[in-house]
Amino acid sequence: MPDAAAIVRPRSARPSRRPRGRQLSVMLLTAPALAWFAAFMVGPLVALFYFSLLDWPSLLAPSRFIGLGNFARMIDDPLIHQAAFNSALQVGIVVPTMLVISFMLGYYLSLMPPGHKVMRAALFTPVLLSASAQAMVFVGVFSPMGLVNATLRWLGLGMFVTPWLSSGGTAMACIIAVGIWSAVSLSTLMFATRIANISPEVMEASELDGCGHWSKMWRIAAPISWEFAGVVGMLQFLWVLFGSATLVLLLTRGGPGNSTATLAFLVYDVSFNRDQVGYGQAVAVVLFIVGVAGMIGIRTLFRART
Amino acid sequence: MNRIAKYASLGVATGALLLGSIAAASAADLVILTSWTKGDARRPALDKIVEGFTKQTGITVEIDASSNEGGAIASVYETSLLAGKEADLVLASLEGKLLDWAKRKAVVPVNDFVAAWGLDKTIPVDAIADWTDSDGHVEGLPYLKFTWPWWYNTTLLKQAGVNAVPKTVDELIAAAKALRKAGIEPVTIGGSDWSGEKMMLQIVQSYMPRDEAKKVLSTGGYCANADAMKGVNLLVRLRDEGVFVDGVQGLTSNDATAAFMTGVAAISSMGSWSYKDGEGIAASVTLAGFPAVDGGAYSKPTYYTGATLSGWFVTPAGAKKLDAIKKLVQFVYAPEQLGTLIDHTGAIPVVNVDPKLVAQKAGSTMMTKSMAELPGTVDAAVMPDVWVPGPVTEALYRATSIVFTNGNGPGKVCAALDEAYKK
Amino acid sequence: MEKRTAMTHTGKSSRHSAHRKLGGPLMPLAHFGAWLYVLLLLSPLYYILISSQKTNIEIFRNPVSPVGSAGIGNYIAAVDYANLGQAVFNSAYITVGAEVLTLLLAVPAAYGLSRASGRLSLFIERIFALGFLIPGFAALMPTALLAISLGLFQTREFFILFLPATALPLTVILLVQAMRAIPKELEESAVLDGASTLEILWFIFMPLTMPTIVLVAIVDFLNFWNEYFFTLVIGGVQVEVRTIQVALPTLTSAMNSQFGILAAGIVVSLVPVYAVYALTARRMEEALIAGAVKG
Repeated sequence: MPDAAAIVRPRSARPSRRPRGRQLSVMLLTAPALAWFAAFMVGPLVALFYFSLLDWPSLLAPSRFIGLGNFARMIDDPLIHQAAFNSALQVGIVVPTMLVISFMLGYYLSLMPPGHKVMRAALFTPVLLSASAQAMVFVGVFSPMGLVNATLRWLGLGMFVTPWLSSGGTAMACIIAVGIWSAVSLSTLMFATRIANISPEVMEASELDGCGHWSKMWRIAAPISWEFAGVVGMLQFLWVLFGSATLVLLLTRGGPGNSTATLAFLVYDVSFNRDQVGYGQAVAVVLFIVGVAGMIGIRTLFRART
Repeated sequence: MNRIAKYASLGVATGALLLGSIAAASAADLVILTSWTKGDARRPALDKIVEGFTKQTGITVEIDASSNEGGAIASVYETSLLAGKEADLVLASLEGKLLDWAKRKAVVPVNDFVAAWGLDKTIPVDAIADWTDSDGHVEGLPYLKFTWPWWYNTTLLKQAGVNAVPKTVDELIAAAKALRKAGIEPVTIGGSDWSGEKMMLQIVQSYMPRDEAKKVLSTGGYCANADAMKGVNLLVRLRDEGVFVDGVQGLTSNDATAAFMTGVAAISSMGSWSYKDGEGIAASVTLAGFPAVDGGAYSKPTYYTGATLSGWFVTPAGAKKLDAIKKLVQFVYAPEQLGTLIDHTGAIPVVNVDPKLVAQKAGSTMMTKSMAELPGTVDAAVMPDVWVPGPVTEALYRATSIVFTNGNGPGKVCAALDEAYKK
Repeated sequence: MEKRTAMTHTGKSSRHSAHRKLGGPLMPLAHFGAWLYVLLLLSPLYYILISSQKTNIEIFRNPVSPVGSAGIGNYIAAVDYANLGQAVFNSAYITVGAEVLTLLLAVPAAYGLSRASGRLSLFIERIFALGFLIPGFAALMPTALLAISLGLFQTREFFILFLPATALPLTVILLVQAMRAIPKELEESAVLDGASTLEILWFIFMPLTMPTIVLVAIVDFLNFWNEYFFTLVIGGVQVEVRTIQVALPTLTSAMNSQFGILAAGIVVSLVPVYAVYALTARRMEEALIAGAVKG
């Protein structure tokens, strides 16, 4: 560990004083992107908070200002409790699992093993599949006649054959499994580019000390990638939390009953299916707050140890 | 930050100026938004009819199709309305959010047009009733109807030693047991989607008089209604006696249709849109209903029928082009055009066309059977889609799996149904 | 890591090979695990491919079987039904336009942020992170209103402008991370040599972060190509403007779904994507190897 610590340059050690003019010119580089971003994001952001204060059934219906009424209602709404639990379960399982697997795979990929090009291409699959394609694929995988059950029968595990998406427990497990499947891919690619950036000298030095890949991975690469892992973790936390809307929509539409509804799915379901746009936006505000809290949490966690 | 803000507003303003002119209006005189996508069997007929209309009148028509997956057509239309860029007519099913369109002024009620355009003698009164909302608006012009019977594969039933289509619930249970013994799947249905929802509500309303069924379907309260609970108990009994295939709660309508059409399952419930695909096994199929129960609300087996399958909504934009729309509407309801529409598409117009003609034109044995076998032998149950409120629809679909899962007792079943109605 | 001076170009390829040395008792396990995951990743594509030559009944009765009877018919139907030619063009127009704009905005921004010190850059980074915190479905209506007020409702151009804004958070954050890993000394020596800010970006930062640039470019490209709900509701369903993702679902209908034809359409929609990947992947490989050598 001590050599690793010596290698990682502490952030604070960076020279922070620069000529004032250069600083300004550098900041100007960010201005177009910031302006662009503001032009398209400020609207939704303001709308999010304003609409959450309305009793507003649907796009075409009149709205009424009710202050924090939507939020008060949420406190006693069992549907929200269920969705919050599901979201917590999903994020709690997917993010840590994904981080460990994708770091290891990323390390493996950075060694450029035989077939790494194919592997790299395959890792884009989850982003490659459009909504239409995903909907088709999930049916093929989880339907009673589908791939999972066919594999179980083939392995002689016929007693485990079940309609996966139709009972609360297994349906949520499917959503989590697909979440991991999809999250690992992109994270692996991100870790691979980061680990490839680690100086070969560092790796070489540890090799002379007789380190195998396992200890190199955990004792050299991991500490160096620690802060980057925080970034990946944060990104995936947000993607899993917010992206579950589409995933749930495609897999179970929140069913059976409401057993697989997540907070992000409720934003869609409440606004579009249940004719309560205002309430849906209030759920979105809650998600926003959870998102900010999670980001701060993850940042603190991954900063504390560097 | 000032410079940034200036930069931003300047950029956005120039962009808007440059591109504002790009938005192109449709070149056609009339625009129809429809859920009849190219994958829909009726679409070629519609294209042909519209082509003929343009030839005759010189009025050009553009057809824009949207997938209606998850009720998407409502979002597409409502947003375009907000932008003032809506189509002139919408051709779609009356269900979900569309049930509230007239109330929310998303479409123009057609109450006055029916007579003014001479359609009062063409469109039957009960079809208009299906399209009338609780405020008395006729939401659109009913165009196509459906029949939705139970399909019995008599060849498979015979293989299992069952020689007649079950007429009572006990016979249905006995048939299912015999089928299972013969290695044939009994009743199959999409127990996780809309098709299962229809079957479940059909069984649940067995003991409810029509008005009571309408009330419960629109407001819920299944657990509190004695007749509804009798129906729930019946459904649970059927399920626990093994009437439905194993794992039915996980099936979709596609799974069920495929299983029935390939002779894997012997009984299912499918709408008239499937008649065309049933051609392969038509010789084995008898169309009937769900058996009537003792002391129930119906004396004959029940099926669904309704005029809500497709209809024409007139939009605010369309209201400014009523002359052209009147011509188009009169054209599409003309017997000759209806002939084109039913030609090998499985469509059934709401207007009173000679059933023999429909059967013959459809070129489908199943359609002929439905025209011959159904009238007089079945009663129409209350069609849920007209009564279940839009915001409840999706939640009821999701409750379906719970209802079809073994081990869930009547209390849990009715609670799952009531849960869907919670605001 | 301070010693990683790319400018010195000592070009010790021996380091590179040392980095690649594979061995150790756990390696077979790693190979197995990695390839098992690759199998899991590729199986959906295989499933779509086999489904694309099946009839609907075959798909639902025997989803796993590779045999189908529809043959090429599904492909012909797909291309014909959905005007896929026009749809692919519309998607390509939007995707390429948005991609160029994204990189033009994000690369300089990331460079600026990675070089700026302390609070302000952190604050700006957080502003970008806000982009992740708006649930897509909640942003739909305000975005539609924006499109309407700009007079760009139901145009492709709106998406060329709008999609980059959605991609900026990820693109900027990942690029900032990559650029921060570049040693200060490189930039400082270049400044001493009289290089301008843009020259430093172009000749030092972009080459050194090429693997990350290519990675985010591919991810953005795929996200733009696959965008569905916004393009459906705001872009509209007219044949002239609709994208491939809006066109694909029209291959099937609510009551009589035709998944074989849909699968064929999906395969067609993936062809341009693979072409782009084949082109950029080589660039990424080169950059990765170059980066390793320079290191």
